[in-house]
Amino acid sequence: MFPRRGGSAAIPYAECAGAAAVLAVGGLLVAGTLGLPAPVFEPIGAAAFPRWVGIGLIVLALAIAAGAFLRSAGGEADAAPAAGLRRRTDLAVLTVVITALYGFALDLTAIGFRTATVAFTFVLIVALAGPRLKVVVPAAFFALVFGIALHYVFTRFFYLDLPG
Amino acid sequence: MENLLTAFANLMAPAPFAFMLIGVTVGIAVGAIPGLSGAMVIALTLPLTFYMDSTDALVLLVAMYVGSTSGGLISATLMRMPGTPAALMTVLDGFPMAQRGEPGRALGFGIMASFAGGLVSWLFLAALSPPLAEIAVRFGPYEIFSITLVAVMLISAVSQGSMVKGIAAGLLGAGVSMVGVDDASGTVRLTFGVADLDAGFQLLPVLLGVLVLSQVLKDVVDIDRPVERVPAGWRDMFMKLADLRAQWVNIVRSSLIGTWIGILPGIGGTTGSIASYSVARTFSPRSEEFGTGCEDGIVAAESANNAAVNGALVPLITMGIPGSVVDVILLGALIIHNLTPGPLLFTNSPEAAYGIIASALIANFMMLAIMLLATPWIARLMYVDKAWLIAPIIVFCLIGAYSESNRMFDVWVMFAFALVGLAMMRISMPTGPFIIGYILAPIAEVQLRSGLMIYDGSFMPLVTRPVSAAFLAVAVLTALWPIAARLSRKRRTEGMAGGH
Repeated sequence: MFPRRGGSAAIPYAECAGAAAVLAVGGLLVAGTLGLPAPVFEPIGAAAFPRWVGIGLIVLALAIAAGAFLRSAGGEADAAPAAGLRRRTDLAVLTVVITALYGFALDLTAIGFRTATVAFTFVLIVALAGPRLKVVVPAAFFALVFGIALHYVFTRFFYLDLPG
Repeated sequence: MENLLTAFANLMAPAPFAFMLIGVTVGIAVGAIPGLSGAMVIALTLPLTFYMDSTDALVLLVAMYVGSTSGGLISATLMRMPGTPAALMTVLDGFPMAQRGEPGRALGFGIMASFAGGLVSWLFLAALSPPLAEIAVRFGPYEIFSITLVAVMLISAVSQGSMVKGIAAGLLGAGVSMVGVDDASGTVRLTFGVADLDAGFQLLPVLLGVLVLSQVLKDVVDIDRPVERVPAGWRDMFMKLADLRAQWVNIVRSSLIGTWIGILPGIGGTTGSIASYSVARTFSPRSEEFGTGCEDGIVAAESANNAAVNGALVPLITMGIPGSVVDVILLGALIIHNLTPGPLLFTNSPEAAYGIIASALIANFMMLAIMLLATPWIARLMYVDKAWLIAPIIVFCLIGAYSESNRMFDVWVMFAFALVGLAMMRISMPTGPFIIGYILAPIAEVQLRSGLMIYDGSFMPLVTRPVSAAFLAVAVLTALWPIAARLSRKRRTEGMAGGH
């Protein structure tokens, strides 16, 4: 999915970062259990299981890092991306930003679910499909129908509370 | 037998028949939509049944249960998004098969397997309910702990990529599940002072984030990838005789596994489909093809998860013990309608008990007909430009995450876990074990601590109790199997090289 610069002796940055993240989570689990009270009516208490999981993660993180370095030292090549396929990481970042703005609109403003959803749906479709007339007009219509219908169905039929 | 035949006759009346049809249809539709689950729709429908006849209410809810479990197959196959947690394993082979241009065939295998799984498990539900439930109830906490350990090891073994990363993913999921209030002691742990985390990371935000939104973002990255148009005609939907001959052992075995695990209290269809998928991979001559669009994987997963539906009904109606999350809601329905769950149900309210059994079979046939009729149209969703699907999917996910506790915090949690899922994909760490670890770790912890309390802090019964020891042995063998297989392959390769 994500092509990496491979080759012999290349530092496996992604794997190291992943291993570091796993190590951090393991450390957090162990640290988080240090202040828990000792068990009273049972042998092991609330701290034991998270602590064992944390220790297991620390060990596995080291194993992942070691494995990554051994593989890169052995010169294992990474899979090449499909020929001619353009990765749209820019669009993924844009999607994240637009979605985050949608979340902020629901969480921090009084804009309402319907308005926010109509706007979000329209903006994201246009952003992903391209700002062409044959996209903009149908997207506007679809977003309007989708936002209003969804609000109606979930509040009047499923009786779910919606954010915003 | 007489009671059962009477129940079938009663369900052929217009009202209960219509309720079952509505239940299956709504269940399939909801089960197919990522962000909505069978448990949600059944819980939302429960208040609507207050003024209904008790048997009508129960058959409606059971039909929804059957429909939603099968409906998860559709989005799992077409969108790599399990509509329900039980369709998690279907994603592994259903989606790749659909991607290579065989969505109808993938769905057809899944539908027929679902029907077959429901049929096989129904035989147990109808004929062997009392003795099966009695055996399962005798399992102690160590047995259930061992089973959950086996499930985590199995999913780590079957996921693509290294087993070390698979186990790490499982432990990560387990760690995430432990945030919040400890059920056993009431201690708040691992929240680091964040009040919103007292309730922990809820299931839907984690599931939707790691499994759905991360895939949505990946789809955006690959949005320019062309999708080959393959018609999903009627012919593709039916299993050929040759396919049936090739799969009948898998179907029966997976259905039996799903039924058995469904009977085990609290575990549910997800574990059943995981276990049967892993067993199918072990015994299949095409084990290397698992995860790349192998029919055996789809059949194993769908047979088991539908079999688990009826399996989970066994302890519910015979012992009053819910076999899954959905069964907890069904238990509430029984109580609301003044029906006492447990062995007395068959004595005091046989029309309700046998009505549930009969409706499970009728709903299975309805599911088959509706899925076969509607799926070719639903399959066309695959060819809609993804740019038009991304926004609605995100909105559905947002609603799903928000609806669990009516908190925007859960929505932000979902977004965060979407990035976690994306990062996991980046380093080839499978997300399946993460979700399984998240779901099973609380069960494992509670059972282990219960067992330690019962046995005065001794771990020995884990290995001295035969059933527990057997499951532990399976877990250890599963962990060692990839190493043994690799050593064997290496020796064979060296032997061939030496021969040259």
